Amino acid sequence: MDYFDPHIHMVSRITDDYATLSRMGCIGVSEPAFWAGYDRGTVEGFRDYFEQLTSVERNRAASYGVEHYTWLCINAKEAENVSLSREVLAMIPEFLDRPGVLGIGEIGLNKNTSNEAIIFTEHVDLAVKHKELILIHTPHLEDKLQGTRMILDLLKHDGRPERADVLVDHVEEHTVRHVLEAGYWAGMTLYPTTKCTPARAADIVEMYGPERLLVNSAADWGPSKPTAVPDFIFEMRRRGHSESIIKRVVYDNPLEFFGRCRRFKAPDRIAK
Amino acid sequence: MPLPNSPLSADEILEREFLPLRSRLLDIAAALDRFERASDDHLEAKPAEAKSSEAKLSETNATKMRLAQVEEALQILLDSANSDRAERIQQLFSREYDANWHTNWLASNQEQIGRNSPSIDDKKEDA
Repeated sequence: MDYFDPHIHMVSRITDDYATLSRMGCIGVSEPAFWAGYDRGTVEGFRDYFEQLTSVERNRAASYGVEHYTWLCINAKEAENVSLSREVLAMIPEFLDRPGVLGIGEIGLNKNTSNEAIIFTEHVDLAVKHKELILIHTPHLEDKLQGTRMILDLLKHDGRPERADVLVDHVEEHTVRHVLEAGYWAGMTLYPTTKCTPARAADIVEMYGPERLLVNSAADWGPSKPTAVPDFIFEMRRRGHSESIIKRVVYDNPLEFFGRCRRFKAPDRIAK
Repeated sequence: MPLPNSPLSADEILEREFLPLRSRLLDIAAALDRFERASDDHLEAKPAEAKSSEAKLSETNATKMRLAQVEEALQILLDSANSDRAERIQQLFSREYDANWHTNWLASNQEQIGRNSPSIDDKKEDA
């Protein structure tokens, strides 16, 4: 089955992973800007990173027939540095019209601090003013419920983003209902130990239906599995679910969400 | 809307899940045993570690809190009332949400919020 991975950090994966993803049916990857494992020191570091996302990664993916899309931001962890964040925010518009850029992300909260919330609102403001989609990271583990509700409060207080232009990612059993009831897209991340599993994601689809749900691997430089979306497909098939329901989650929903970006160009394989 | 009918019956689900369940329960049992053996070792005479009494107390309190959470989670597993164990265990391990946080945050950060927000005029013109 052809599928998208709507959240994967290919900049931290070797090229063999593109080869594997392509063979397993992945036709497009969507890569949010994220924390590299250390705090970058300057806005020029981010400029180089955005250059890598919008050029090198697109070329690497293309050589395996995978379309690469990307998102731009300063991530929640580094957002604690307000002055650097504002420099990065001012620089982002330089890259917004590059091919493959889908919008602003992955913004969000990390430890749910005041500074993180300030920079989150400024990212939302940037996205609204430039008419961009938004991809949101919700915090890890014990911070997730509190942080998700704070994020939803901030979006509600702003009031401007269209619900259909916002994906709230890394939802789990205790946050998915809040996100879906608020009208946003909800991403389930299949990541070892700290996030969801294919079986639990399948449970969530069964409990809430496939509307506005997506799955992703968020594979990065840590222990993670870039083929997690095919694991979900396999789990759903094992349970006897129809191909149309599975395709809704792994293909139709990402296509519909990405398609709301005016710059979005579907993978060549679809266009043909 | 939830999916209408689960393709698998309850018997089929248990048939599939029994061995993985058994395996995960053993993992939990072994981890708890491991913890208790380490606790018993700690109670026996061991060379004193160079930790302050405050550090030791803090460690003990953190351990007690985590153990209490684990025990409460195990109790949730036994409660078959609403088929929402996963959600309840997630909530158990979550920080509290304060419904007044936003009002307090706005009041404390009036000068910072909205300052230097990038405007569309900041977008560089194409050459």
